[in-house]
Amino acid sequence: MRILQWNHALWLGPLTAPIGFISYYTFFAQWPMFRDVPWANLLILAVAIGISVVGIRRAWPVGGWRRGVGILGMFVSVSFTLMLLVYCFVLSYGLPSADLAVKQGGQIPATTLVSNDESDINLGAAASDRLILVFYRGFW
Amino acid sequence: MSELQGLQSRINDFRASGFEVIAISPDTPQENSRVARRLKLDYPILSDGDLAVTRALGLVHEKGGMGGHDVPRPATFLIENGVILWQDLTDNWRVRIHADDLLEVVRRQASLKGA
Repeated sequence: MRILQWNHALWLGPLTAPIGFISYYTFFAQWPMFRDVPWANLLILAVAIGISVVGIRRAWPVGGWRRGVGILGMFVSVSFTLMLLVYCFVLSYGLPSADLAVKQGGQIPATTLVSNDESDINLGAAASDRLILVFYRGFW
Repeated sequence: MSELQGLQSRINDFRASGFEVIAISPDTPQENSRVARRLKLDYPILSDGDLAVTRALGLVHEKGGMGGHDVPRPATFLIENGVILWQDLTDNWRVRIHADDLLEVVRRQASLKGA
C-alpha cells in the first residue's frame, strides 16, 4: 500500500532549499572558507534538489496532485540554487572599475574622521607611520 | 570569522611589523561602536559618513548599499608616510583579503623597508 505512505521527500526538498540559500547570508558568510566559494550552501542546495528528485520519482507512479507538488518542489529547489549562484558569481562582481581607485604611490587625504569611541582621528597623522587602512562596507 | 575579526586575530603580528590597523566605514560612530564591541576590536573604526575619504580615493560604489545608498568598495591599503605602498581592490564584494595573506604582504613590505 505505497499509495497511503506519506511522501516526505515531496515537501522536504523545497523546505531545505531556502535554508541552503538564506544560511549563506545569516551564517556561513561569517567565515572566509565558506564565504569566498559558497560550497557548503551549494552542498545543501544539491541535497535539496536530490530530495526533490526522490519526491518526484515517488509521486509519479501515484499520479494526481502529487506530481504537481513534486514539480513545484523541484522548481523551488532549483530557483534557490540559481539565486545563490547568480548572487555569488554574477551580482557580487558588480563593482565599479578598479581603475578609478588611487593606488600605489598615491596619497592618503589628511581628513579628520570620528572614531567609534567618538574621538577625532586625523588620517594624515595616523598614516604618518605604517598603517593598514581597510574600507569596510559592513555585513561581513 | 568576519573580515574585521580576521584583522583583529592578527593584530599583534601586524603591530610587530610596525603596522597599525584602521578601518573606515560609511556607518555612524554609534553603529561602528556596536560593531567594535560585538567583534571585540581594539583598533578603531572611523566613520566616513559623507564618503569624503572614500570619494577622494576613488572607492565609491554607487548605490552599492543594501538600501541603495552609496558605499565604499571593499579595499585594503598598506600606507607609509601617507603614501600607498600596496593595495587590494577585490573584484568581488564578497571576497576580501584574508588576514593571513595580508600578514604575508605586511611582512614583505616591512622587510623591504627595513624594520
